[in-house]
Amino acid sequence: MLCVVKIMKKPDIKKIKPDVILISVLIITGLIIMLFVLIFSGGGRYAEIKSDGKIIEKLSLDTDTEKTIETELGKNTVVVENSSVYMKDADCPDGICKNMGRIDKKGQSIICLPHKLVVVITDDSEENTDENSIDIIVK
Amino acid sequence: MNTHKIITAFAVFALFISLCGCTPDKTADTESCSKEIFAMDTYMTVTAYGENAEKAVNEVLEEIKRLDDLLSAGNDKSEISILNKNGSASLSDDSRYLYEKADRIYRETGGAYDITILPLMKLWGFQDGDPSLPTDRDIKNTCQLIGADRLIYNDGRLTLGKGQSIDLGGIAKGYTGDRIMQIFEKNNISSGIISLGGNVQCFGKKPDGSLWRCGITDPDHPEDMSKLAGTVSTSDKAVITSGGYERFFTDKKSGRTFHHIMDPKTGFSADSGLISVTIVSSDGTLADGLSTACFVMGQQDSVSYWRSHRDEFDMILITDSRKILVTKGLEGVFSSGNDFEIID
Repeated sequence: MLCVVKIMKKPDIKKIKPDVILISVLIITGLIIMLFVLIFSGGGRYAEIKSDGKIIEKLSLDTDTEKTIETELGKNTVVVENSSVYMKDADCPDGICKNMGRIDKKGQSIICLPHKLVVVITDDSEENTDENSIDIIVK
Repeated sequence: MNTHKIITAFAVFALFISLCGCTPDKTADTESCSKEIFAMDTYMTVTAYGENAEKAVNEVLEEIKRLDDLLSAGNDKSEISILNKNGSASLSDDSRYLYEKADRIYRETGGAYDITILPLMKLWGFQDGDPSLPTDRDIKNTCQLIGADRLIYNDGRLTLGKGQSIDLGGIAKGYTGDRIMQIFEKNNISSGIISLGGNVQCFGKKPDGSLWRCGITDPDHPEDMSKLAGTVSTSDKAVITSGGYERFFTDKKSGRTFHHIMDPKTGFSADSGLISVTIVSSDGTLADGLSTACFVMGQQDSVSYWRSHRDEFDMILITDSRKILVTKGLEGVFSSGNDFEIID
């Protein structure tokens, strides 16, 4: 550190300027990228909606929303409210998915078998991957 | 030496490091593949780790579809449906294996698991998803059709008794799990885990070398993952639970609740004092059949059956008074927030 200060004391202003700009640009770019990464992938819970195995929607549990999914098999309305998810409406014959209640924990799911639709909670944040976490649920 | 260049290089390096740290790839050293499929009237997930993970998982999905088409009693074109229609058929290798296993469980459990239960399941409406309470007379009449001892099996040919029909659904998922483990092995998969509608089977250990942690559903809160009955840490085993909470209905007139696990002797939902039975075994087909059989048999008979077959499986029983009983082989690998008793 001392060494750096010493060197910095006798610089040639003209020579330093482009370096300072470059370093500043790099640091600012880095900060902006980090901020983006933190906001968009750095954790938080999501409701992944899958139709026949393919992810068709990914809703953050931080924002209240209502989404109607329409496939050739039928219609389901998924609601995110107060950081939890439930199946508000579905035109499936058994209606089991509507009675599955609210889910809010990683790995929990609402399954609509007739429509081949799954809503599953995912969590990207690292603090949730502790040793004691469950790998799979036996039903 | 140009110190500015060094500072600049340091800044670039720092930026690079900071970006790397933000997106850790935990599976960078192992290839992994995870897919899901709707089959056998349920939702299935398949995950494999290893060089051939994707190839293996694709093969698994094909095998699931093949077995679903072959064994489903709900599919008119399946081998089992054709057998039920014609009353007799020469069995394929898969059905032969399943029949022989089912027959063994039937005989060893005093008929607690019986593949001829299909007419009863249909009468109650558990086959088509709209169950209701039948009349006592209908139940009594249908019970007369039940009994795997009336099946005739000779040289791979199975002949049903008069009015009988069979359903291998009670062990088909377990068998599918066993077949998947074989596909994993053939493809040199290093570790894998599958859930066939809640029937879990794991291959090897987790990629980090630790045991798979399987959460056992709390029968009182089947949808709440934070309220588990307990966890089993294991490797290379099937973990299969039968519980009355899976499919049930409440009769409006009497207010009574009936679930889908039928007692072949009474013709009603099994009422043995057990509300959940989990079997842990390296034989998925056996585990699937036994989870039903033990649920029907109740605590006493299940424990005595286990004592004479303890090298083949272990189990976790939950009684209607919420007592948890765990067999000796799971001591140290079963854990629960509630008290449990070890059976030896």
